[in-house]
Amino acid sequence: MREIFRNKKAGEKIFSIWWFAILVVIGTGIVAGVLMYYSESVDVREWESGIIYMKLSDCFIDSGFLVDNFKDVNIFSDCGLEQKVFEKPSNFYFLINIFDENGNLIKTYGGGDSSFKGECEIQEKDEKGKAVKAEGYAKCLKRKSMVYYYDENNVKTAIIEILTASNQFGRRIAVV
Amino acid sequence: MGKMFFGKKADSPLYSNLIFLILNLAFFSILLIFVLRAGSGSLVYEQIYAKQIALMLDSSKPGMEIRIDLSKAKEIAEKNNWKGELVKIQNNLINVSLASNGGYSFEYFTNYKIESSYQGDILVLKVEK
Repeated sequence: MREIFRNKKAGEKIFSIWWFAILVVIGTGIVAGVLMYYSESVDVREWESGIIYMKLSDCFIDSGFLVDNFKDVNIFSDCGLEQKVFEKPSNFYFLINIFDENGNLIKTYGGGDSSFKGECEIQEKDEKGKAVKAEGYAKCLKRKSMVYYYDENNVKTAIIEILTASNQFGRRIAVV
Repeated sequence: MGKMFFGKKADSPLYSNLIFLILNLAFFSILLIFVLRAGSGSLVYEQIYAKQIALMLDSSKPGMEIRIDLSKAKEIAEKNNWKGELVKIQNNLINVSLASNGGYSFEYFTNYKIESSYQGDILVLKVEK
């Protein structure tokens, strides 16, 4: 028995770099698995795009009509959005285009990280209904609505197109 | 390798086995602590509370009062011996911390004034213009 324990080669075999390589593989696997499991389900980016859309929609449309001052809205203070959150680098983006009945652009508003616009366009469905899925790209919401507005006491129709996007994941912080 | 650290004594199988055991124990202990911490929920709950509060504030309107039950968060914080503030709201950031080694931060985009207070385990958020 003593012979076995005094065998230097056997000790070195167990206490080898390969054993630690195995430990690293096991450790990485467990850590990756746990992190993937616990981080997977809490993606709220789509909800945030939806909330931005809802806020902007409520701000511009009242009972199917565009608000009276739709050409002169202070998008941040009037719509309840914090301006500094939408200044670059931002996790959010919005674009509002208002077209008249002939398709001419009457007014446009935008804010946030404009690079998200491209990401949203890439993810849009093509004619065949296929869309590119990209995990790291912002989650977008685009809606077009037909609305009415008053122009010199005449009721006219318009199309309001609202695009919103969020790419906020949140972050862990060391000290609160 | 043993020789490098312990000189001649490390030649003894007792020392190499001891080092081997200690390193293995350390490794598996760290792994176990990580998995237990993840499993006990502080990592997950910090994130869930931060996002839940941010979404509630974002979709709120002036005049609303939001009440959030933090009893589960308090339970986790007590388990982690954390006696600091659980939820901090400042500069459009929600910081939730349920343990002494950090927390989770999430941004909200509404510009309404938020006043927070506690009623027992309930976090009360008042939304004002």
